[in-house]
Amino acid sequence: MSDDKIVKLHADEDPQLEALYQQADKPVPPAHLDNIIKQAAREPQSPRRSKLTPWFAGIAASVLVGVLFIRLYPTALPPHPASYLEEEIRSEHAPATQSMARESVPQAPADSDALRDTPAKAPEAARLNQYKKSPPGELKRAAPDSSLGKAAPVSPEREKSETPASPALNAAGSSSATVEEADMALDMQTPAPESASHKAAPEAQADLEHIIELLEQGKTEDAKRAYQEFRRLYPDYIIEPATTARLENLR
Amino acid sequence: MLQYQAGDASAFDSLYEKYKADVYRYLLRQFDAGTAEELYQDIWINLIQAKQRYTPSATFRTYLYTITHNRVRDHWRRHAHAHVEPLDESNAATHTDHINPERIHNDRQAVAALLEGIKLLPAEQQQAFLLKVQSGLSLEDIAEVMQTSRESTKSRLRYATRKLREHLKGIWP
Repeated sequence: MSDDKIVKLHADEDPQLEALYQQADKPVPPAHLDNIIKQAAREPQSPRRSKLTPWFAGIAASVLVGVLFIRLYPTALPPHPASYLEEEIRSEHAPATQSMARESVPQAPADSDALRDTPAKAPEAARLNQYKKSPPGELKRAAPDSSLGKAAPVSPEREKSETPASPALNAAGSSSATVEEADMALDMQTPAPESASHKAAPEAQADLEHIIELLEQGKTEDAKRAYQEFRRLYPDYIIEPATTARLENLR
Repeated sequence: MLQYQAGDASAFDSLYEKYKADVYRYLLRQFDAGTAEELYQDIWINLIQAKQRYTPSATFRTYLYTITHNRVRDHWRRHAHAHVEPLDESNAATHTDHINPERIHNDRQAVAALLEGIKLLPAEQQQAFLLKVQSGLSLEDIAEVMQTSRESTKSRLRYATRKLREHLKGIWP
């Protein structure tokens, strides 16, 4: 039988050829490959995936932290100091006419001007600029809007310490019945009604100067008696903070 | 494979021991030892990595040789080789030119000539032949592994057989 006939007969099969093939050597894979593959099969994740996992984990963690930061940052932070100062300055610079309209209290333009010129304003503005990153013009533009809102209350202690020599303060204080009323009048930037004490302010101040002289001379008992007399004459007179400090030991 | 997929590592050992020799020889008949070992390791690692995606749509043997065939095909694509030559009847004649009939005196030498002839076959014929005689796959399984039709598989086997016969002509009956 010729080779051509054999090929035609067997077509796609040739058992003799296959038998010859089976006589070939039967090598097996090296042992080190067996160990590598079996070890890889026991690992939780394949090496190729283990390269990708930290990358994905890093991206996911970054995104998560970013989202949490964006969502929680505004609520976690305390109010910015600049916003507090800005609100104070807005309340102090608010036009007196609008405050008047809200509170139905007569306006005193001179008081507003006096408050605006208070020496304490300059350091306050400097502190505000220290905190604020935006240009100062923004604060000025925001002032008219803030005037529509209610003016922020000012504590009596702060008001006394920051405006010790203001004539407007003295005027407001001398016309009010009590310290609280005087503070309220200052907050509202309106003068209190005039009274006998207001008219007697120069005399009262002269009496106080006399009391201070007694203290400086070491006549403490005389000073105490003079002060008691002073209070009897001017029960609602508001003493300037600087003078108050000097008279502190008499109280 | 399903047991291994479920976390039974010993199931993989059983599969590996059963098929490792066939896969290794399948590669060794086509490549030098170094390339065969490299591909062999890649194939098993690919199988391990794909365990979660395994679905028993075919026999494990077919699945394993599909991975093997794909890896071999990628290798051929990356490395331009004589095996990508188009099927041409004249190729077999030229391949047999360098065989020295005087060296072949017995079956052992015939086997060596056969293995040499296999390596000279075009890639598609070579793989079809090895999938049949080395791995024991049926025509249908070979067609599935090679992603071709049953008739094309038969044709490739027929050409491979003819060329090997011609390759052994004069030295083996």
